[in-house]
Amino acid sequence: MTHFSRALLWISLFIILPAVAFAQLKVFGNNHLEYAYNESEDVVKQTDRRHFFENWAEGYLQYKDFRLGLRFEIHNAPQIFAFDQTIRHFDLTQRFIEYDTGNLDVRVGNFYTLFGRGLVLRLFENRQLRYNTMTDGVKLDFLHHRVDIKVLTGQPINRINERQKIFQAGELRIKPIQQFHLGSSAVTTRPDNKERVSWGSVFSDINIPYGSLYAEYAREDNPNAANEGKALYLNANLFLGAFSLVAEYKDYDYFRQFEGVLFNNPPLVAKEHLFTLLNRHQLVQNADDEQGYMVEASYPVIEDGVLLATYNFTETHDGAKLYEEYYSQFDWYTSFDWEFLGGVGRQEDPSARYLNVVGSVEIQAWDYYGIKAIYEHQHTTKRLNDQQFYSHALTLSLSKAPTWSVALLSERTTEQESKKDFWIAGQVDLKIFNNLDLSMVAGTRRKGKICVGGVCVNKPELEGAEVTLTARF
Amino acid sequence: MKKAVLLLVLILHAIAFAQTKAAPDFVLPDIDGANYKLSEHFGKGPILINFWATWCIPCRSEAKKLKKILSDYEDKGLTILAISIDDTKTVGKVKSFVNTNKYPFKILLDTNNEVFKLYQGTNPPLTYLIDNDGNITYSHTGYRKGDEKKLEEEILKLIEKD
Repeated sequence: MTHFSRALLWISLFIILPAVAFAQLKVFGNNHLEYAYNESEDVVKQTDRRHFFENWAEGYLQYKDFRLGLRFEIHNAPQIFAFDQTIRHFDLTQRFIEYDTGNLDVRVGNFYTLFGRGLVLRLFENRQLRYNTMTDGVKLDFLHHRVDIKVLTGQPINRINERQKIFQAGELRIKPIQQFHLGSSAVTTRPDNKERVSWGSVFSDINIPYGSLYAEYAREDNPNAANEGKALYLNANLFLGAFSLVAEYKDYDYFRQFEGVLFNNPPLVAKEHLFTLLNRHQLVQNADDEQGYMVEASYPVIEDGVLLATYNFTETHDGAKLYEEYYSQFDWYTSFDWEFLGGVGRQEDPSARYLNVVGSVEIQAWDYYGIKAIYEHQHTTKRLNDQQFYSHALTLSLSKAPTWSVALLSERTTEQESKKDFWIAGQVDLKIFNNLDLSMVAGTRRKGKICVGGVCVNKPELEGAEVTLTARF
Repeated sequence: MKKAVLLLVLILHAIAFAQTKAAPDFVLPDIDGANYKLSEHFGKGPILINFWATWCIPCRSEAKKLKKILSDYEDKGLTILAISIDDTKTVGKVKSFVNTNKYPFKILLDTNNEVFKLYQGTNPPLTYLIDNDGNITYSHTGYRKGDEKKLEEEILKLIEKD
C-alpha cells in the first residue's frame, strides 16, 4: 500500500468516521452494478468474451454548504460500442469538491453544465448510452432573481478518457421581469497548432399567460474552417384552454462543435417516443447541415383522454430530405384505473419508410396487482430494393406493488437479412427494502439502435443473462 | 491506490445506511423561469419530489395518482415538486404537456439532469418524500399500479407526526 493510500485510510478512520458519528457530516450516494453473460455470436466475435461486469459506486459527503463527490468505476470487460476494447477501467473516474449556498455554487473538479438549450454548450452524461462529456476544471454559478451568471474553465474528456484542450465558457442571463429573460453565452478553445475557435449565442425567453416563446441564435468564429457555422432555434407554446400547440424550428449550418469532444447538443426537433420500435428509427443529428421544424397539438377530447398529433420534418440546406414523421396518439386513463395508449404513424429516412401501429393496455387487477400488455407493429419498406418486411414486439407483464414485476419480452421480424427472426426474454424486477432494486433478464434480445436526444448508440445482441443491482443510500 | 479508494467508498456505503438522510439542497428554475430553492420550503409540511419526463409512460400513470394525493393532502401542508428531466430535445414540450394534462404540481426543470443525478436517479419516475426537517423518509423508483397506496401511508405518517 502506498503512502497516499495509507494516508487516505487513516483519514477515513480518524476524521470521517468520527465526524459522521457526530452527525456533522452527511453521507449519501448510490451503487450501480451490472453483470452480463452474453453468448451472442456477434458479441463474442468482437470482444472474445462472454462475461461483462460493471460497477459504478458514487459517494457524496456533505458538511453544511460543502460537498465532496467521488465515483469509482469498474468495467471488466468494457461494454462493446462504448469503449475502446484495449482499455481496462478500474479507476476513480469522478471527483469534485463544491461550495454551494444555493445562490452561489463553486465547484472544483468534475462537472457538467448546460447553456441555453445546448446550441453552444451542453456537457452531460447519459449512462444508458454510455455518453459522457464530463469536464475537469472549475465552475462558478451565481443565481439571483434578476441575473444568473455561469463561468467555467476546464478540460473535457473523450470516450476513452483522454483529456482534450482547455476551454473557457460563460453565460449571462438577465431577468428584468419574471416573464422576460435575455441572455448570452460564449465558449472558446484553442486546438493544437490552430487558431482560437469561439462560439457565442444570444437567447430570449418570454412567458405570457397563453404561452411562451424561446429563441436562440448562435455563431462560430473559426479562422481554421472554410465555413463558419451558425445556428438558429425557435420554440413556441400556445395554450387555448386545455388545447396546446408546440412549434419548433431549427437551422444548423456547420454547427457541429467538435474539437476532440462534442461541445454542443442542440435540440433535435423530432419526436421522442414512448415505444421501442418507434425509437429505433429516429433522426440522427447532424448539426453541420440540417434545418427543419416540428408541430405538435394536444387536447383532452374526453375526461382523462388526450389526443395528440405531431408532424416533424428535417432536410439538408440543399433540400435533401433527412427525416419525416407523422404520428398520432390517444392516451385514456379510465375512471376504473385502466389505461389505454394507442398510436399510429409513419416515419421516413433516406434508407426506408416505416409504418407503425402501437398500443398498450394496463389494468389494475386487484388492489396491488397490475397487468400490462404492449404491442408494437412496424412495416418497413427499404428504398434500395423495395424489400418489405414486418417487425412485431410484444411485452406482457404482471406486477405487485411495490415489490416485484415479471415480464415477457418478445420480438419477431420477417426481414430476410436478419440472422435471427425471433427473440424472447424474461425479466424479473424486485424491490428489496426501500433502496435496493434488482433486475434480471434472461433470454435473447435483438441488437439495435437506441436513440435518445439525437444521440444514438447500438446496443449489442443478447443471448444469455443480465443482472442489474442498484442501491441508493 | 485503487484498493484504498474502493475501501473508502465501501466504508461510506456502510456508514450511509446507518444515517438519517438529509435531502440534498438544490436550486432549479420553475416552468416560468423563476428559481426555486428547496431548503427555503422546509418546515411548511411534507415535500414530495417526483422526477418525471414527458416521454415516460409510468410517469404519466403515476402523475394521475399524485393529482389525487395532492388534492387530498394539500390543505394539510403537502407540496409536490414535479421535476422534469426532459433534456434539450423535449424540454420545449413540457409547458404544453403540463397544460393539456392539467398538472397541478409545482413544475421544476432539471434539463441537464444534474439534480436527478444528485438524487441518484437512473431512470424515471423517481420519488422522494421529505419531512419538515429536510430529511428523506421514503424513496421509490419506478411506478407499479398500487404504489400510491404505500406512498399515501408514508405521507400520512409525516402529517400525523407534525
